[in-house]
Parts: sequence; C-alpha cells; structure tokens
Amino acid sequence: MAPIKHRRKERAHRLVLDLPSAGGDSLGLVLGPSHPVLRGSTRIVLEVEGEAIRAADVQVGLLHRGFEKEAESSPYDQTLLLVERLNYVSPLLNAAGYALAVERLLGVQADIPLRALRLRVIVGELSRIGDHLTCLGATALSLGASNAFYLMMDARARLWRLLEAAAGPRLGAPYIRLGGVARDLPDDWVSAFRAFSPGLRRIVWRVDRLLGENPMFRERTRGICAIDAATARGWGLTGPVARASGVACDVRKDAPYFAYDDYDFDVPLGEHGDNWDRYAVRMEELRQSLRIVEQAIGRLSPGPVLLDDPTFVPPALEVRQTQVWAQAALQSLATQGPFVPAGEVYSATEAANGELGFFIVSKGGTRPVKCRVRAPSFANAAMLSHILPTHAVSDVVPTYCLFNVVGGECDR
Amino acid sequence: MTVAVALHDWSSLQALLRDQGHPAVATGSSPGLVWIEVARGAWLTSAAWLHREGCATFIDLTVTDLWLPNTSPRAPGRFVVQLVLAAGGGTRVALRTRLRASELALPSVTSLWPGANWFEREAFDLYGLRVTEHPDLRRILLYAEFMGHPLRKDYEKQRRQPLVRVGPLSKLGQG
Repeated sequence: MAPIKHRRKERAHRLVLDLPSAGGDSLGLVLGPSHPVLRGSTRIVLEVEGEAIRAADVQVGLLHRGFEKEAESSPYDQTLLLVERLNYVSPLLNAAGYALAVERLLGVQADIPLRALRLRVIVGELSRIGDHLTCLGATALSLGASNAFYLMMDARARLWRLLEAAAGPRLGAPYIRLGGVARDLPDDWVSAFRAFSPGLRRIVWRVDRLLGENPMFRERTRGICAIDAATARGWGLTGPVARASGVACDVRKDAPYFAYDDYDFDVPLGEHGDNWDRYAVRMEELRQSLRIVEQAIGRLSPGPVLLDDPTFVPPALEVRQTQVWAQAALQSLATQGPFVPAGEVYSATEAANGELGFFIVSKGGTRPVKCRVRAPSFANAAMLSHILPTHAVSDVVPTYCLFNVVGGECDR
Repeated sequence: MTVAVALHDWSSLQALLRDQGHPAVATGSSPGLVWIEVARGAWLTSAAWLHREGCATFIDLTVTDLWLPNTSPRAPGRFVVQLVLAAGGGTRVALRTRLRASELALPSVTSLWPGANWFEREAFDLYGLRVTEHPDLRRILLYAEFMGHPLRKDYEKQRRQPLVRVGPLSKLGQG
C-alpha cells in the first residue's frame, strides 16, 4: 500500500506546481473537471484578478470516445445505437438527425411514412423539452434557486416516463430506425400525454414566476456575457444560444424536415444575447415545443410507421416466417448492414442545442468513408473562452449552464 | 441548386481567382450542400470572398481522408478540407480544397470567422492538418502526448498509446 500512497502524493504535488501563475496580482484558478456543473467533461482554467476573469481556457475532450472513427467501421444501422450517446440529455434528437442523414444519402427521405415523421417529431420535441428543463433547472440550481430545479426535475421525470412508454429505455433503445420508427404509440399514450401537458405548462408558468420575477435571478443574469448577433454568427453559434443573440436561425424553419412546415410555431429571439435572454429563449421554446407536440398528435393519421424496403429495413416477423427471401434479407442486414450507394450528404437538424449536422461520405458499401458530426455544443463551448474574460468568477457556472455544453456531443 | 443560385454573383470569384492564377477547380452540389472546390493557394482568397458575399455564419470545418488501402498514401487529393458556411436561410455552402499528405497545411480562417478556431484545432488534432497563422494551434480533443492523428485512414483503430504523465494544466501563465 505504501508505494501507491507515495505516488498519489507526488502527483497531487505536481498538479499544484502546474497551476498557471501569471505573476502580479493575478491568480490561476482551475474549475473542474470534478465539478457538479462541469460534470467531469470540461476543465476551465481561469486567470483571475480578484473576482474578475482576465483570461479563460476552456478545455474539452475528456469525454472523447472516437465516435467518428467507430462510425467509419460500423454498419450504418448499428451507428444508430452509438449516435444516441452524443447528446445523452436528448438522445432521440441525435438518432433522428443521423437517421435522416442516412435516409437522404439513400435517397428515400421522401418515402418515409408520414406517421413515422409525426412520431419522430413527437418524441423529438419531448426530448427537446427534457433537454431544456435539465439546462434551465441546472442553471437555477447554480444560482441557488433549488425550488425551480426540483419543479423542473419533477416535470422531466414525468416526461421521461412518457418517452419511455413510447420509445423504450432512455438510452440505447433503437426506437428511431432507418426508414421510420420501431413501433407505434401504445394505445393509452395520447391520453397520458393529455393528462401530462397541462401540468408541464403549469410548471413552466410557476418557474417563470419564481425565476423571472426574482430580482436576484434577474440581477445575476441580465447583461452577463452578452453576445451580439454578428459575433454569434462568426463564432458559429446556433440554436437557443444564437437565437438569444437575435440570430433568426432554426433549421426546422429554414430547411424543414420531418414535415416541420406543417406545424405552426414561433422561433423566440432575444435582444441582448445575455444570460437572461438565453434563459428566456429556452423558457419560450418549452412552450413552443409543447405546441408542436400537440399539433403533431392532432395530425396523426393511421398508417405504417416503418418503410417497407428490405434493402435497409428488416422485414417483419410474419413475412420472415413464410418467405425465404425475407430471411435472406434479414441475414444480410444482420451480418453486413445496409448497402449505401456512393455519394455524400450534409444533413442538418435542429437539436436541443443548435444545428446538429452529419456529413457522411460513402464510396458505395456498408461502411461510410467519413461520418462527421457537426456538434452544436462544440461551437458553443468554443465561444466560452472568448466571452468569459472581464466577467466575475461567479458568472462562469451559470453561463456554462446556459450554454448547455453537453460533453458527449462536444467531445464525440 | 447551383452555386449561382445560392450566391448571386459567382462569376466575380472566378475572375478573382483567375487573376491570381488559381482558377476554381470545380463546383457542384450534393444533398444539403453547394460546394466550390479551389486550389490550395486560393483557400484564403475564396474564404474571404464568401465572407463578403454574405456567408457570415460559420458552421463547420472538417477533413475527409479518401485514402484506400493498397494505394499510395502519398496520392494527390487524398485529403479534402471542407469549410461549411450558412448563406442565409437553410443553404449551406462548402469551400473545399484537395491536399496530398505531404502538403497538408492551410492558412487559418479565424480572422474571418473566429469560430473556426476550435474546428481548425480539431482538424490538426485528428487529421494532422497544419494550420498556419492560427492563434492557438494545439490538440483539443486528445492530449498533447498523443501519438499520431487517429482519423487518418492509416491509423488502425486498435492502436495503443503510451501511458503519459500528468501534463501541465494550461497554456495560460506559461510565458
């Protein structure tokens, strides 16, 4: 035991020695990665002078798992399981984005049954609500407003029970499939949703009162880390963070997919791009996403939820039991995966934190040559190093929360 | 959709590049993307032109390794560097250039889009793209002692890395 203890001591000593010291009155301060908000995935090294930040170095990559390398050697359909681990707060949005990219590469995106698109919108928007609730709840908690956090976590727990009923386990449930979704909604799902949605609206309303009318919360968020629209564009910000800066960008409106143009919803925009606007935009998006889910449920029409194409969708069990070709198709899909012709695609969807883009290059085969993920959190996290200086140390945590840097997606 | 539709005056870039002796190599479109391929020397000029033409939103920068086993790793055009920009609404414009392994270097576009900073660091980290005039070129997703560039096709997935000691925490305060 003794040598191990000794080594640990030496290591701790070295860490202390490596702390940056810029001389003068400034002090090196390391936040994370073991920090309740940085969640083990980010380390922020600050140079502070009193309470003011002089320089910030946001370090990511601690959660890098080589997603893109893995995707290059995996069949297209198996990557669907891996892709959910990108943004693990809203896994279904990632899976839907990836499935759409492969469907566009296969040229079948127009053939996906309408009911499947509606279901993807329903589970996707519910996932977005869950992601925003987590982000806003964590922000509230980081500013000491634990009551709002408990309200939002309670709403999120109920919401995930609904999502589990529709899609299966929270992570690693291949609900979104190439060609549609795995199964239809359970019979009583819509009534369960109708019982849930007024409660969610009430919680959003209550949190709005609790935080929005709280002078302390307003003081701690107004004017903090403001980003103007031109800066947001140049830094590649997308999603709620860019919209808070007044950039009207939303892939659901700009290049509609999954029949998003059927729905009537607003894209909230901020004015100053400060933490308050980032909070307010996400709060409004909760309501808008709920509006979309309600419309999608109203527009559900009967029909299949999975495309009938044995080249990339396994044939149904009843068909496999009677037809030899269907067994052969399943065997080919299970052992090699779907064949994708040569081509390339850049496919963007609006994930909870912004534009989630997949750039896939195929040379004709069952494995992609390249599977690039344009992760919104990565671009958003890059902005943090730039925006944190001149602000106070106490602003780092709420700002990081409101940028909602999700480690899995940022580091891939 | 062609480039001419996405950006109203594509001919001015052609003229500009012809004057510099680096005419655009090709243009085209693939689902979701309108692309312009230029010679390596015209990278920064073309990027600046796109910036002037309204592609103010940075989206992505990445490299594709098109190397196939049993071919020469020094084949021309092995690496494709792609800069993706948003040109108003949902249109995505890509600027591409093809490089061979020995000349995998490009000037940085961070002066036009500061957001390219981390993406260029990532291209350096995972593909070994040497970005010149970059404000802060160091690895980003991997650690400084990592050997090789893992997204290159000649980096085997199972390759092991040596164990390293705990490194310095930051570049801050080191001079």
